[in-house]
This record gives sequence, structure tokens and C-alpha cells, in this order.
Amino acid sequence: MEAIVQYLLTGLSAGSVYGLIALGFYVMWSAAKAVNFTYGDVFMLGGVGTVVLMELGLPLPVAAATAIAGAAVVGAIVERVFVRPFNREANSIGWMLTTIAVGIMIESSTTATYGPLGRPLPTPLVEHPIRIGGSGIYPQELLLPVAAIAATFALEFFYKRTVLGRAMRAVSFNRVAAGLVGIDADRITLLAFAIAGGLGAFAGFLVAPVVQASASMGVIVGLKGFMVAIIAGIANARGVVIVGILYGVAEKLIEGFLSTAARDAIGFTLMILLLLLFPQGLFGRAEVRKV
Amino acid sequence: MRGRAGLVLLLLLAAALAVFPWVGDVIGERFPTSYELRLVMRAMILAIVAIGLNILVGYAGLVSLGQAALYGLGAHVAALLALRAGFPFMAALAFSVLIPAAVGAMLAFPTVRVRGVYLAVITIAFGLVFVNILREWVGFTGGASGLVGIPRPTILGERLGATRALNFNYYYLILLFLLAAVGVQAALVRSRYGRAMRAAAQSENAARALGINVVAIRTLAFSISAGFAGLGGALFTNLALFVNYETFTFTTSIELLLMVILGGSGTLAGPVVGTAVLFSATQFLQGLGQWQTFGYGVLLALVLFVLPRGIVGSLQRLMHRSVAAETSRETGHWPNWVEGLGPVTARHDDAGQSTLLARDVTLRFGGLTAVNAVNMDVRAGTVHALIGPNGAGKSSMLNVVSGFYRATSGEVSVFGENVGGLPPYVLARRGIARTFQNTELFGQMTVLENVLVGQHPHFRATFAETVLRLPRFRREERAALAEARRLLDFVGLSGFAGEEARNLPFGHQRRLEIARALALRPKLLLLDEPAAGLTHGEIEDLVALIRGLADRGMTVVLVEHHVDMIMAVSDRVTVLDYGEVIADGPPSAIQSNPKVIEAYFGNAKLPGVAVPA
Repeated sequence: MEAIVQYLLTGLSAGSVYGLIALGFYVMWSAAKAVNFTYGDVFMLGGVGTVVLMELGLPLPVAAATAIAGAAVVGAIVERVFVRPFNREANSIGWMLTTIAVGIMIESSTTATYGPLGRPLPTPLVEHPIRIGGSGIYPQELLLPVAAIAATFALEFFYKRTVLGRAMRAVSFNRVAAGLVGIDADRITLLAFAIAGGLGAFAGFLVAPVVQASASMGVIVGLKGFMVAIIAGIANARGVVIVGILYGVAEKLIEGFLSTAARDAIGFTLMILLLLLFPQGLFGRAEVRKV
Repeated sequence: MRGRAGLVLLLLLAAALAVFPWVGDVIGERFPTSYELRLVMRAMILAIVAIGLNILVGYAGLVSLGQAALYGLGAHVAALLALRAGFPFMAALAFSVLIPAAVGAMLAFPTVRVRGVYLAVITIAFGLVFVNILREWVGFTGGASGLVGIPRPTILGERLGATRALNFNYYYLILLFLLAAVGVQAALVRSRYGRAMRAAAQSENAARALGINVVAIRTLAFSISAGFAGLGGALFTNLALFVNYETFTFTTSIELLLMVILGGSGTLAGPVVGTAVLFSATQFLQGLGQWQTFGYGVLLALVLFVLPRGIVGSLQRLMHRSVAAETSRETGHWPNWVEGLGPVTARHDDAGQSTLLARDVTLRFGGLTAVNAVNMDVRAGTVHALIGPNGAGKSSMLNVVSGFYRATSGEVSVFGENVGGLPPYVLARRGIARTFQNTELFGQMTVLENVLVGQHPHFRATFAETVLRLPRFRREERAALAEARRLLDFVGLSGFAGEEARNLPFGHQRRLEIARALALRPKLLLLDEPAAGLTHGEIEDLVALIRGLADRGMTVVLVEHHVDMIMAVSDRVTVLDYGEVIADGPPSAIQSNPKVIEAYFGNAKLPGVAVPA
């Protein structure tokens, strides 16, 4: 029983990270029908950037805010330079390759300069674990689901209630029509990638105290985030976050009851099977193909 | 011409590789050393894998980021079968091809149904899981220390190896497989399979409308590329006689992709050239130490920005430009009923039969009813026009009939059989051809190739016959080519046969789309606003063409706005307004029907509004 509570709690926190990343993928996909394929590296910049800035003497909040802002800029640059020119035609695959190239550059240059090992990011919330029914968990880990839910609602509010958010939805719905009513679709897409960049870095910053900030912290997590988004159907914010959290919990249960080694093999197989059963994703609706 | 130049270059390369082990005897030095020989053999193996990947990326337009895992799968299958089950070399090799091919199909099938991007994600995941399993399942794969002591390969008792004592026989075996891979690639690309892959990549809708099962062809493409990867893996195992996971990580997948892109994806020579160049560059990049991976990233980005078509693709473009200026580009008149067009209209329903019968067909999108309880009876050999104001549901109806939309309720029967819910490619094979309101050509294929794609369902030659270019395949291919040329003559586009379809002027694109639809030899031809954007003269020709087809027994359903054209060409007219049939009858009756006039011009009884009749 205690073990199960422990798995659920850690799963909830790990899953929230997947959820946040999937949310970023969703934001990018909606606007551009393309994503930064190596978004995990932007996530990594949030953690690593904060650590580096703190080592340079900045206080935690300033370091984090700077890292997140920096990642947002990186997100925008990736869109402008590496996605937009390679996403001109439907079914383009160029953007996949260019963003992978960027991802490789970001990750390997970080490894070369920052070092291959993880470094701690000390926050007050990882000093003492709290006990819930005999299971121990850091307050920082509990912060993650809170952040994921808050981000979901914030995003929904942004999409539904603000002019900019509505414009973004319009672009995702029909780029040409949005252009005809005076929305600068290119700028909206740029903004979407910047928001996603900030969101990813925010997640990276939040999880870094728990997992340590390292150059490779984003690779697998980013990929899982994308798979989560796909399984959810990349159709709405709630869907991707829910699937993210569920996947995190499922992973911890597999780890706990089977083995850590089998976790990814089983997890990915599960995802492939889900996709086989629900080709449009769990929360996605069949797209009406315009003929 | 280009094909022949390619063949000469290939033979030169093969000859150079064939004499390479013996160069030392001529120049009297110790060259190549066994290390250098090994490098060349590894490059040849990677080229085989890259050729497979090129079929996927360059022709089917899908990206695999886990090709190294399939390469590794082949390597491990070969190693394990030899070590644990005592399989002879050739038998293990066969399984090393088949197992990755089957795994590839299983990975591709669920993903390519929705979006190509998904395949990229799934393949990365597969790659990571694969390496993860190899590393953790120590009892089976040896973990980090890998599988050692793999027995030297033999064929019929003959030991294989790359030493002078053995006449470098394993080296030549790899070379043979490389040449075979090049040959299979060329055979595949210049067949209906290659054309279908490219068609599906360039316009999924048009491909489906021409009888191509897009999911199947993409799954096939991935399966083939996985088979090539597996072959490479098995050859690698028997060269190194040792395998562990380090050879097959994500970095290798990227390397393989880079080889294809750098050489020129979608070109026959690209993967070989790319492998040669990148493999040489890698020897240099290794000097970068921890910045090596960074170098790959920079290189990949550079290639995509500077040479998006790759080395071979860019060279071909240069050559094509200098040649293109000489070709004649005269537009012929159309319709040009040349000799031999008979088969195009040969299969048709008997006159008077209901070719298309729609009963109470309703189509809803959420709360919007696009088509509401529509009844239609289209008789064989007639031209049946479907008209109505914008948004009346004409195109939706056409999409229901061709299988692109599934009717919410009601029945559609075509050629006497209920076809509700059948996918477009099945309907196309039964004899329904269509054109699109916004022309959907395969832009980067030539005009001739576009028409050839339309003949996809007619081929009977099996996959093996196609790859081996056996007589039945050659015969069918020749016949298809002849008919495609006749169809181009028919629409007056013979002068443009070698041109890329996207470069055609708009009116010509419409002509090509009709020729392509006719290549299906349809019994029922659905034309969605074929006259839109055509000049007055072209419309007259179009009328003659449609009439000519109907007179030869073909049934034509025409969605159109041009009233003059409808009156001139149709036998019967169905008028839709807000998704409902408001009139149905011969054109003369429709013209004077008050309901129709109202739908188009509004209510005549409103005070002060004069109706132009």
C-alpha cells in the first residue's frame, strides 16, 4: 500500500513533466503543424541555464527567469531560422531534420562546455522530504503537478479569452483565412514557439532540483513528451497533460513492480499499441481532410 | 541519357572497388592495409543501409530516426543465430533481412496511417528501446561486452574473409550485395511501387483517388528500408565478428540520415555518394573529440541550408537546366482521339443502367448538414451535371461518391454494388476516377509519370517480378508507357512529357489531371469544376472531350458553375441548394425551373427586384 502511494506520488510528479512538455509540443504543433523536434533540449536549457547563472552569482529567481526568457528566445530563433523556411509545403520534412540538427548542436555544445555530469540545483523545496502516509516526497516534486495544472488553465485562458490567444487558434484552424482577416500568421507562429520555449524551460527549471541539471536531461524526456502529445491526439491542452500524468504514473508502476530496465521498453510498446488502437489519439478527433 | 551516364559511372565505381584490394601489387606498396580494407568494407555496408533509407526518405517522403536500430537488429539476429543456433551464414543472413523487415512493418503500420511525423517519433523511440534492451539484457546480448566469438562465415564450406589468402572473398561478397542493392533500388524506383511511393508523398489525396493504398505503400517502403538495414547489419556482424550496442545508437541513425541527405535524397546515386563523402569526413570529424557530435549537427544543418537537394540532386539540376532549353514544348490540340485509346473507354456499364445510385444520402459535419437526403440516379454513358450555388454540397457529394467522406446515412451504390464506407483506393480500383477542384498533381513528378501513376492498379506483376524485372513486368511497363503517351497525345501534352508537373501552366494542369484520371480506365469519371480557370476556347475543347467520352460509353458526373457548358454537355442535371435536391431533369427543364432561378438569383417576388432571366 505504502509502495503504491509512493509510486503514485512520484509518478504524478514525473508525469507532470511529460505533461508540460507535451503542452509545449501542442502549442507549437497547433500554430505551425510542425514542432521543434528536439524540444527536450530547450527544456534542458531551463535547468542547466539556471544552474549556470546561479553559479555566476545570480539569486535563484533572477537566474530562473533569465534562463526561461533565454529559452523563449531560443524557441523563437528555432522557428524563424530552422522551421519556417523548411515548412513551406504541406508534408514537408525539412523542419524535422533542421530542428534535429539544432538539437544536436545545443546538446553536444552543452556537454562540451558544461560537462557531461549533472549538477544540483539547490532550492528550499528539496531540503526536507515530507511524509505522506509513510511515503517520502520532496515538496518540489509536488510543485510539478501544481505547475502543470496551472499551466494548462493559463493556456486555456490565453487561447479563449485573449485577443492574441484567439488569433493563435485562428491560425491553427486555418492559416490562410487567418491571414485574410489581418492576422500575421508568421508572427503568431513565432510567438507560439517562444511561448513553448519558455514553457519547456520552466518545466526544466522545476524538475532540475529533483533530477539534477545535466546536458542530457532533456533528450528522453522530450521524446516521451512528444509521444504523450501524439497519444493524446495533440488536440487540446487538458488531453495532453492528462495523458502525460497517466504515463508518468504508469512508468513508476512498471519500475516498481517489474524493473527499471524494462520501463521504457514496456512504456514505448504501450504507446505504439495505443496508437494502433486510436490512430487519432485518445482525445483527438478524426480530422476532416479537405479534398 | 541520364540513366546511361549513371550506369557508366556505377560500372566505373564497381571496377574501382573491385581492383582496390590489389592496388598494392601494382604500385608495389603495402596498400591497402587490412585496416584500410576494413574501412572500405564498412563504408560499403553503410551504403547498403543508406540505400534502404533513401527509399524511405527520398521516395516515400518519410523519415526514420531509428534506422541504426534496425541495422543493429539485423546484426544481432545474425550474431545470435550463428552463436546460439548454429545457423549457417546464408540462412542467418536471410533472417537478418526478414526479421527487421517484419519489425519495420509493425512499426510503420500504426503510425503512417495518421501522419508521417509520427513515424519519425516512433522510430526514435524504437531506437532508444532497442539500445536499452541490448544494454540491460546481459544474459542474452552480453550487455556492454557484447557478443563475441561469432564463428567465421562460410558458404558451402568455403571460408569467407577479407584476406589475401582467401582472395578477399568476403570483400567481394559485400561488393556484390552493394551492387544488388543499387540494382533493387533502381528497379523499385522505376516501377509502379516507386511511383506510388512518390505519389503518396506528394499528394496523398490524389494517390488515394488513383487506387493507391497509401498506408500499405508506406508500410512497404519502411519494411524494405528495414530489410536493407538488416542486411547491412548481418554483413557487419560477419565482418567484425563482434557486436554490441555502441555501434547502433541514435548518433548512427543521424549519420545514416545525413549520408542520404548529403548525397541527395530521392536520387539513385545519392546514398552511395553521400556515404562515401560522409564516411571520409567522419575520419576527420573523429579528430574533434567531444565536439564530433556537434560537427554532425553543423554538417546536417549546412547541407539542408546550402544543398537541400544533396550533391547528386544539385548536379542533376544543373545538367537538367542545360538540357531543358532544347526540348520542344508545343501544346497539341485536345481532345485528340488518337489510335489505340479504345481500352480507356472499353470497360463500361451497359447503356441505360444506373451506374451511380444515391439514396437518401446525408452528410453531416458536427451540426452542419452538408448533404441532406440526396437522391441521384446517374445512367451509364450519360453526362450528369451536379450544379448549385456555392456551398450547396456538390463537392461534398462528389467526395462521398469517391469514398473520401463517409455518408452519415443513406446508401450509395456504384456499378450495381453498395459501396458505402469503402476507401477511395478501393473505389478507384473498381472504376471510379476523379479530378479535384484545386488540381492535385504530383508536382515534382514529370507529366508522363503523373499519368503512369494512374495506371498503378492495372499492373499484375508481383513485387518479386518487379524487382527482378522479369518479362511480365517489362511487358506491362512497356504497355503502360505506351498508353500514358497516348493519353498525353489525347490531351495535347506530349511536348511536356518530361516537364515537372508543377511547372505547367494552369490550363495544362487541368488537362493533365484529366489524362491521369483516364489512365485508370474508369467506368465513372467524376470531374470537380474542370472548367474553372480555363479560357473560353479551352472550355469548348473540354466539352468536346467530355461528350466524346460519354459517347464511347463512359459515365461522367460533372460539378460545374459554367451554365453554358452545362447546357452544352449534360444529358441530365441535378440541382443542389443547401444540401438538398431542388430540381432534377434534362437541362432545358432545369433552365426554366423557378426554384432553380430562385436559388441562384433570389426570390423574384420581392418588391422592386427585377430578375435577369
